[in-house]
Amino acid sequence: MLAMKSRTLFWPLLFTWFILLALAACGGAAEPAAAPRATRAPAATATPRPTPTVTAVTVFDGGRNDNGTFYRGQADAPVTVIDYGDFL
Amino acid sequence: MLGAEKEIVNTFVAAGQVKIVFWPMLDLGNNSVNAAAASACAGEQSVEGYWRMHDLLFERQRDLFRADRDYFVETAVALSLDRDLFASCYDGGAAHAQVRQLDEARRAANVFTRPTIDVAGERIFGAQSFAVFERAIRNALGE
Repeated sequence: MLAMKSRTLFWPLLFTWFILLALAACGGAAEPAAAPRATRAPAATATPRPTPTVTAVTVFDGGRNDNGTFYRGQADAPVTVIDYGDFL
Repeated sequence: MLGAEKEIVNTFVAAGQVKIVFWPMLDLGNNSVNAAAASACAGEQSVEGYWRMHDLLFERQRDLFRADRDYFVETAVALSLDRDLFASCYDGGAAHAQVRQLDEARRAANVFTRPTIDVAGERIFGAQSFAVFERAIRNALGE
């Protein structure tokens, strides 16, 4: 009698287990749906920065010559490169 | 030279083999003078200030034709330089006079092409690749 009762409960329990498994799988599939929210976040931070950053060239040690020009590098470097240029 | 400058700095300046001097040319009107003077005034506060101003002005080169006195002051402030010291230097006129003197000296040295890069006496004209400068520098180093 008990064995028969167990047999009749087996299929409803198995069905319930599958339903729970399917729900869990749906929960996992919802993860990518959250991804766009994460990708939208940088757009909110893309406001202009008030302070400019200088990334063109690293500033090394340097100095100023007697004629008023400035140099980048060590004063006793064996080779001097003079860059004649206009800021405009 | 700006395009190749980063590589020259990273390859040769960082190794102590080269120093780069910037010599302002004032060929394009008042703001050529003003931008060079602004850099000189940044340099009055620190050498690093000079190079930061130099780099930033070149980055924003397209703005410079319309730049006014306040633009240069605000740029100095954005670079964490002292506003009053910078403004005093810029308004004082000595920096403008100095860069004009430098410009006269380069004309006297027959430098007229913009830009001209002098590598230990060898003059290279116009925008060139790093390879061109590397050859001249290695030649000057005797390599």
